[in-house]
Amino acid sequence: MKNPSTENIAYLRGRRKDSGAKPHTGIDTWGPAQARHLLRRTGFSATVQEVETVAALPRDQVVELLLTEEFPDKPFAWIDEPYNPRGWTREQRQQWQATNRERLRELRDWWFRRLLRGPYNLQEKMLVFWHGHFVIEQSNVKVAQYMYNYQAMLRRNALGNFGTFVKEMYKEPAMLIYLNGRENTAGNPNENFARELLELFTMGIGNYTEADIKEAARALTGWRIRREDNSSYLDLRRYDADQKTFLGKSGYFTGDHIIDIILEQDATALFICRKIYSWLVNPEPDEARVSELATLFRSSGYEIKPVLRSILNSDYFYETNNVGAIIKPPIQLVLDTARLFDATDQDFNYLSRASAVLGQELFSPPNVAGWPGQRGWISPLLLATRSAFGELAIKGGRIDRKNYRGTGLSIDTMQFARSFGTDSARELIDLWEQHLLTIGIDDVTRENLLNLLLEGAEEGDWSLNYPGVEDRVKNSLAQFLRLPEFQLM
Amino acid sequence: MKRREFIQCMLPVAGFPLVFPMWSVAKTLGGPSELQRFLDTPEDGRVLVLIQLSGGNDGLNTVIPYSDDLYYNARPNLAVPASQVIGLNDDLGLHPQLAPLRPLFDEGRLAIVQGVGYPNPNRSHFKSTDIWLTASDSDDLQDTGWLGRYFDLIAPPDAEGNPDNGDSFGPPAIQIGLTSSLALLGKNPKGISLTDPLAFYNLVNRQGDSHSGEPTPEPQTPAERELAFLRSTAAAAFEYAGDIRTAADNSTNSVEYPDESLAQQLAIVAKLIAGGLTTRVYIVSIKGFDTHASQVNRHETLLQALGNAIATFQQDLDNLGIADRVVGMVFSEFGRRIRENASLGTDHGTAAPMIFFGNAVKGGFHGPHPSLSDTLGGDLKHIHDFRQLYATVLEQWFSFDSQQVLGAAFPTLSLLDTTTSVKDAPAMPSEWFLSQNFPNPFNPSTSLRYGLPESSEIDIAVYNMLGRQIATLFRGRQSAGQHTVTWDASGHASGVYLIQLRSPGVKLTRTVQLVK
Repeated sequence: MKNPSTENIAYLRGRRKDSGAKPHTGIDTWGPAQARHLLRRTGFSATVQEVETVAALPRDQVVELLLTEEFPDKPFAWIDEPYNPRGWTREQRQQWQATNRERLRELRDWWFRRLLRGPYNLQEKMLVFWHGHFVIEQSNVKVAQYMYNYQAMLRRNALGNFGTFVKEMYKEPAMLIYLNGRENTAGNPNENFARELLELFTMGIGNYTEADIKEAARALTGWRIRREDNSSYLDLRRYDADQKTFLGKSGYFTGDHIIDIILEQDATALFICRKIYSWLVNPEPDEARVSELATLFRSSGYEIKPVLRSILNSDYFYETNNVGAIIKPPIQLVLDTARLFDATDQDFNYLSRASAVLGQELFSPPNVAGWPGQRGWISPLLLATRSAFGELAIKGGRIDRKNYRGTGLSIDTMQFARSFGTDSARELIDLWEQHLLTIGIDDVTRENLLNLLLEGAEEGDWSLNYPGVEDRVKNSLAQFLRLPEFQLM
Repeated sequence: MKRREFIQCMLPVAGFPLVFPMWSVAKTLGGPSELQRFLDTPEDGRVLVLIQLSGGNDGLNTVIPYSDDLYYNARPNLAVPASQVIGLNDDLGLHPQLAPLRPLFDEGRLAIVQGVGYPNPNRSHFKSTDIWLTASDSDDLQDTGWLGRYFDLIAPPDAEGNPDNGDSFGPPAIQIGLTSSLALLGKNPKGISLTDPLAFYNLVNRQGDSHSGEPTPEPQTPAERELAFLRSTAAAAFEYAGDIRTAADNSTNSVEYPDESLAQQLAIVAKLIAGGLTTRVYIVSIKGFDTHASQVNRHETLLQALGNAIATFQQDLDNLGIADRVVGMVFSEFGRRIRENASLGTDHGTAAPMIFFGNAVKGGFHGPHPSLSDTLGGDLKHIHDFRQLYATVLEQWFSFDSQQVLGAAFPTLSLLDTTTSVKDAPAMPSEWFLSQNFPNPFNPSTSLRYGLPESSEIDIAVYNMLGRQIATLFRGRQSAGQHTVTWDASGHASGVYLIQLRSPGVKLTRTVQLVK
């Protein structure tokens, strides 16, 4: 394998030494550094080999590969098993609880496997985004079949049409349970879902009145879960068929009509584009760009792909101002670590549990607003735990001690070190910096990392065959993963 | 503005020390002087414990207007029958699951502030929580927490931008949990969040000085700004982890807490206060109060957890002799609608009672119960603005000008009686105790607190591990109350020793470790 380009190192150093210099525009640049940034943001980083392959393709072609959708077959036979607890004995219920717990674990592990599977994985990663947007919680929904169907609904729409997405979302049994939609009936409206639909799922607070919430709730009445096939249906006896007035319009509105009216609002396109921009580009959105994206979103009839395509093919996406601006969510930290070291055949249960310990458990967001993100991921305790995760990934060990099961993350550090094709310690440090970190480090830190790698050996004598080199490699790599820089993407 | 957005608006933490302050390691060993200083100046030792009920607690089923037919009419399925209510007076009473709080109320150590809310109530969990935590007007959200602003004012950053924490032993605030509360957000990191003091210490030490590089120049890009934030967070962890561990090692809970999250959180708080931290604010929380459906059982379970946790905590504080220094404040982002919904639940409402507890609290009801007929479209009108209570706590508990924190003068309530608390003698212990020594391990001397419920003949002696008595620390008649004894172990070898307090029918033992 040839050495990865060193232009990136020069770039990183240049910026560090002259941080007041004009920002890097990225207009004429498409190389390993940009490919790495793109793959980190749209997936979970990439191996050295993958970065090379991707960097050799034209950028717009890479973006199209990222926007390719794939719909896996149902992975488990139990998905179609009806859930009908009526008449269960206590023993049956207990047995179901144990089985269900195991199924949820299986499902989460399977999701982690899919998240880790390759460099072009935007669709699957967008599921995590939408899961944090159209929130449901396992503790509330419980039934594994409903959780899978909800996840499949996210997968169907993650890169599809936002209008269709919302209309399918509110009818999902998981959502009908989570926000009490199935208890929302004519004459006795439960406004829990309607409030979150407007506040968190579509328009954002401040764009509607309390009366609009009440009217939307009426239009959304009557949905129930069909036990026979885990689907849902509109029970007309529970549906409020009278006239409603919503956002200034009056009519005999159904739930779908309410969604259509929501989609007519400028606020909706802006709210969703701002959230996508914050998640994909920079937590502090540039309102002018958000506004452009919102215009594109509405003119395309709320198709999601054109918005993503526009962002990923833009030059601003690659600007210095946006690179490294995001604090890695726990899932990103955990899966990045596995992929950067090409550790693909993994103990997925550990990855899922480690992410949970760090504050992000799939199917269990903290509340209906989803994970707060960015600095919300960090506290002194969580930062120290992240650092421990990185160290243990290299040296062997787990951050979840309870219910020990499986092998943890297994990384072949020597194979990783050899894959860079050099025996120079100094070159390795530079190449690792480039591969592992999003932003550059200063000379003192770099010397410390080098000293850990040399550990008393003369630079000229040192090689990857030097006696005791494996411990040195591990010490240096563990220190890389403990750097605060490793927390940024 | 959403929480997410204004967390990002937080000011860059420029110039925070980027190299870990190594002196804090030496400090982790603590010393009798720190404890002594702390015990000698009790007015600096006042502590506020916030208990946050997340999700919007149903105030009407917490403090129940059981003589009001309107309550029963509005809640045919959810109302607590008058016969089950724990009547505190002819009109109002507690939910039966709050029975453990009844003794505190009778002793005048539990205050119920009625109808707490704010003008133009917001019914979004997130917005209303943010309004409470930042002490904002409903339509003008501030970007820092109310306690964050208070700490900024009492310990302004020095010329280099480092917060001046003086001779503190521990951080200004501790949150039990994974993340820091918005209430603590200020110019500099104020709070440490943790779930277990020892695990926290071990993790932070493992992290070590992960940044040993050059001090960073002023951040130029968002990435550099976030990096500075991460470094300052790591530095704060490193600075305080030792203090927190020492305090936790230093004390033991005097009672067994229920095996339930809120109680366990409060157990840690009691330990850390008794262990000598100078931390002024602790935050604990319990979630699940968003009872839109099937409320009865869920709310019962939550109130049971709350009542038991508070009662156990207060008992522990009493036994540990620190009850005068601690005031608890229970709040939620809003109450719930007067009328129940069709799902046997209640939807988001407005005003709700706040509960305060502690020796310094003027017990009883403060203000009238909000009317169930003169409402705000079916919601309770507030009697008190929550910021009045913040002002009351700041003025009466922390002796601080609340207007500087709240931006306006909110009328205070006569809620905290600081003339009789704190400066008075410590509370009379209800049972015998001998607390863990401080410091521990120690060299050459260490102190223990002990308490007698009644005047007695006692004997306090030191034994080595062979069971041989090697010193007598006190022998004779001792008055009822709390006392301290010190052992100067100069001349003894390193090792584990037992210190035993004996009196007819009483034998209390502590293991101490001398390390030379």
